[in-house]
Amino acid sequence: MALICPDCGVENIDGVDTCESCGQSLTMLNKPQRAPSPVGDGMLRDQIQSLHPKQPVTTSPGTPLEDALHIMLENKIGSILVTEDDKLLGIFSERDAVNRVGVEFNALRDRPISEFMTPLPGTLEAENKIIFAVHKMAIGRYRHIPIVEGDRPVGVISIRDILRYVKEHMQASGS
Amino acid sequence: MSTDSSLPVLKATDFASDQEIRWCPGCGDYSILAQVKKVLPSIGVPLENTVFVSGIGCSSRFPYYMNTYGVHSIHGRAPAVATGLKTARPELFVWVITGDGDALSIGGNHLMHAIRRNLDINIILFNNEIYGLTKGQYSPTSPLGKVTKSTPMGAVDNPLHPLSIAIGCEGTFVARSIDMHIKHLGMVLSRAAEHKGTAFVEVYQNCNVFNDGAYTYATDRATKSDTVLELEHGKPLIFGKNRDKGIRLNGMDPEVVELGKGITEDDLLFHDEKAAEPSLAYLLSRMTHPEFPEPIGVFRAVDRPRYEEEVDQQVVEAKAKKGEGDLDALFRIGDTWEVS
Repeated sequence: MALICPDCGVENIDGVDTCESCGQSLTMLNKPQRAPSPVGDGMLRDQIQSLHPKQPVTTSPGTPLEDALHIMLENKIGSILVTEDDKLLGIFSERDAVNRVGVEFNALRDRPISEFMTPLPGTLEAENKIIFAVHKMAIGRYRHIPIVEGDRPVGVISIRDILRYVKEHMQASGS
Repeated sequence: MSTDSSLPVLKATDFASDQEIRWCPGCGDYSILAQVKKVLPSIGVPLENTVFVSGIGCSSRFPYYMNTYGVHSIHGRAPAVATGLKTARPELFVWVITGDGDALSIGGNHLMHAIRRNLDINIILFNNEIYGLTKGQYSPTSPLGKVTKSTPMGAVDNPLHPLSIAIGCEGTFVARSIDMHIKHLGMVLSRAAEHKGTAFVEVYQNCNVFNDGAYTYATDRATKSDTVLELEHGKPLIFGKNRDKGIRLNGMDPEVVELGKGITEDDLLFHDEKAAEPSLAYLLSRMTHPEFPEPIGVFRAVDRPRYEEEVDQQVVEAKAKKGEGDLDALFRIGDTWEVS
């Protein structure tokens, strides 16, 4: 049975007196205890792969805007990855559709998606912590993050995945 | 350090304070804290003679978590406070705990002079390539192009290499380790503690909230053999899963070569941590991923007179020449008056 250190979160063998990682006492009953935060602590501990990133839907840079929008609507997704030879070139999202295309859709429908995508978006790897994904979304003010292995996209997470995680952990803690 | 056989034998747990640790779970700082606590008992200095001095930042919460004396000082000034402390109380075992922001932004000047003076103190710089406490701004060691809250279009500053700075400041002990390489970190901290003079140790430390994965290349089991080179004094620079790659000099420049195919160990660069000239150590400090494996271990370990000893000696000589001195009389030299 494992004993989780309240300070650093590392698993220790049940019955040890001190944490093998941080050396803090595991037996001091009068030690100030950090208030548990299932959502916060979970995000600090869990990796992005626990969100089960979705298989990315991709298209080539020359795909006409109209076709790209059609793919997004058909698949009910908020973003599409633009790739070439399995390498991530950019991302096109619902916000790009509204902000960069907007009311000019008819005039632009045949233009290649590469003209409207966000090139070289911020990416993460499946082993990165969820909290880091939250931080990146906050800095960049975007809601989708491609998950990559090297240059190759292998998944996508969205802010909705984060919200689902929050809800599950709030429910699990009864709060 | 002198040891007194009548003193109790200390254990790592004796160095743990009763304070709640406020670092984020998963932070690399925990590993460094644990290794410092493991090393201290073997040095044999009593708790009451040990002081940890820090500045500002996540790293600088360190003194609260040690059951020793501590000073949580002001931003970037830990080396200055440590200089005063060690000069006035040379018998104390003084550590400076700082970060890439605290030491190399606001604290750059103080760090430079502490290293240059060669006080017998130990400086540990926790390098997470970000400002963590203030939630994610770029730091002097953040890579070019790094997008952060304060660099939305990517950093345009060339990053500093802490070890290059330390060597440039005439550091007598300069070393690097990694938070996840706990045995190696313990070894480096132990050597730093034993060094007579300023020991400067850079520790690659992961900030899992604001800069997660910055050092994955150096900690991932699949890659670390090819991306990290462990330095050993007197040994050739060899690395790789099969120890089949090495570093040799091509003119003045290091290059990565494959052993065999006409190249033997004798053709490689041999590490000399005791070299009087710091050129080799500086060259090693410039080797960065991905072009080179990044060296860890002791880059330089040389002897030079210590500042506090030299100052102490000057005080002794001054007293011998001019007597004990009278501070009260000194205050009253020249015109003084009372204001009523």
